Amino acid sequence: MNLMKRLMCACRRRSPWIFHMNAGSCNGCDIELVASLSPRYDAEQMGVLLQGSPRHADILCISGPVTRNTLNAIRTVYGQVCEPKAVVAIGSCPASCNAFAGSPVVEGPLERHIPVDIYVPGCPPRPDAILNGIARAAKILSERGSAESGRRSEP
Amino acid sequence: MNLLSGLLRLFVFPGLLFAMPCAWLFVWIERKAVARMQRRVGPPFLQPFIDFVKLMGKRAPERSGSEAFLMRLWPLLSVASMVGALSLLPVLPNSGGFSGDLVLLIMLLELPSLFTVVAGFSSRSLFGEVGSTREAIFSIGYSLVLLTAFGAIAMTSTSLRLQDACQSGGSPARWIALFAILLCIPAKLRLNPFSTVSAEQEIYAGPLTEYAGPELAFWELAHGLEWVALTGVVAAFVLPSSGAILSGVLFVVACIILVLLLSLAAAATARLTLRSALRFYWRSGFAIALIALSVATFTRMKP
Amino acid sequence: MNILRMLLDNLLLGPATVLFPQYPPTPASFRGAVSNDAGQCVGCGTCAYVCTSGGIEVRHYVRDYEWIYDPGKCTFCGRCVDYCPLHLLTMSADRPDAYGSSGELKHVDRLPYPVCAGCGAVFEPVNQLLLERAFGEVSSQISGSSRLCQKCRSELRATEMIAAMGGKK
Repeated sequence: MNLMKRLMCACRRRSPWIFHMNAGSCNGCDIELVASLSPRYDAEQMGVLLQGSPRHADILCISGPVTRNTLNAIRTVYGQVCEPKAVVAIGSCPASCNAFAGSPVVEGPLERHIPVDIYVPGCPPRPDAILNGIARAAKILSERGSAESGRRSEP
Repeated sequence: MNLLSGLLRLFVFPGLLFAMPCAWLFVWIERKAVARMQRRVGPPFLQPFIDFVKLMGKRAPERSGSEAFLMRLWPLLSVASMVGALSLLPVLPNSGGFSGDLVLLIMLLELPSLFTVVAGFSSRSLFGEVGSTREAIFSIGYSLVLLTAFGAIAMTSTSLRLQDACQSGGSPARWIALFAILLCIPAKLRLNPFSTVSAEQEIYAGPLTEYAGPELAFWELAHGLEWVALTGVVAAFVLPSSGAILSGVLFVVACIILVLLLSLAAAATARLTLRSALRFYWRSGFAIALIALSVATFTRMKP
Repeated sequence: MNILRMLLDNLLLGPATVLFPQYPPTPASFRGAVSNDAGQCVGCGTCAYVCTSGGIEVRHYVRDYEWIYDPGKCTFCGRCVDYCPLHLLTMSADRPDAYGSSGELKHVDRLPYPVCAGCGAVFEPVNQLLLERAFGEVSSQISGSSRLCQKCRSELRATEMIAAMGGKK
């Protein structure tokens, strides 16, 4: 039914629950992500809630170049997030490892291990830039969800 | 109370059809009030409904063994017991009821916390088990106060019928008992200062760590219905009975006032540790409920 | 009761939130994405050398060279802006955009090497500012020979020197 699909699409876009993981980050991006939940930027106005479990979340927010110690954790947690899901890479570290590129304990850009949907550049990005990235990821998520359900309903 | 009126009370008013929008309204009021008190904007009006629909649309992970069945069972049972508790509330005057339904109400109100404990263990996750243990220990704390307070209320009324209990009129014992019940409500609703059990970002997500998709949607719905049921119990005892439509409206208004009061307490306090919360309930909470029970017993024993 | 007073004040003051998608303005000295004044660039590669994160690359080909900048890799430290000998690099006063695929925001300036007025070969770019720094006052002789390649320039100098010494070869 078209109406149900449109309703589900709209609801997915307006309720992006996030789970944050630190893949060896310096914490700058993590601090700015938490700042986006503060009153000045208020992520909740878009329905964003920071969840305590990857099973509860739709969008996985990852900061940091993927260090060797965090590699398995990132893969496991990505598997634990339920479909439909999206990944936001916060900062320049997940995009290119920034200053840590070439280090023997850094396992390279995030896209080598899990599919990334949105990159938010910055070192660290501003909280409003992070919110902008999450909003765009929510849009991608809703379109992906409707495409999947369309595929599933085909014989 | 015949079958038809029973079914109407269960599914229409004050049952499922009335309670679901009420649940979403109360959850929204709490989130918005806390946000405004923190100088934030807060979520838009339909947010709890949107969250519910979104969760129904997520695909829960493949589960094997007993978990697959149990993890879908507990949220459904939680919602069912809450709807049952709501259908017993004497919102409208002369809505019938049966002898002993006060006892049934108390039992149905206790069930969701029991189901939460079992749910955490059923999920076979370490974090779920830690959360369940905390919920179990916590419920020992507030259940004592809650049951003593309900005992005091039963003492002050003429029978164990909810209808009669609500119409028995106010007495000092009853007000003290209702205050004790009000102290227990933040613990059942996981609000500050008693949000120890599902301490977000401290022990992952508490007992419900492994639940996803439609299972989580029903847990959130059960939580919303708990809001309506608990505030409804206090409101039903506080309000005098009046005409049909006025009763319904006053009921909702009284519940909203209680929701705002609870939100104020939630925004003003920080999370207590397990020990501090238990100490509070076993000392102050139990003392208040015991006073209520004693006063009720003595007034009843007076010739 | 301090906290209750605080909550009441919060309710009366109203939200302090900047509603999405608006955002608080960035200060004038904000370090955003770097941009190059491509016409003046000489391809010295100092910016790429001092870049902390590998966000700037300068690649040399036969007839041209590229100045490549990826805001996705940039750490917005401003070393390139500080060290550019010609002060050609500026940082935007606004935040960079979010993007969807790796390398999407990469900016490439492909700049041709100047061609010799004498023999037509390509040679290293020259900039007025660098000439002034090297020679103090740039005479017409110097600016004239700055349009020639190394080989033609040294030939021109040799001719002038011979002419100055009396014309004997």
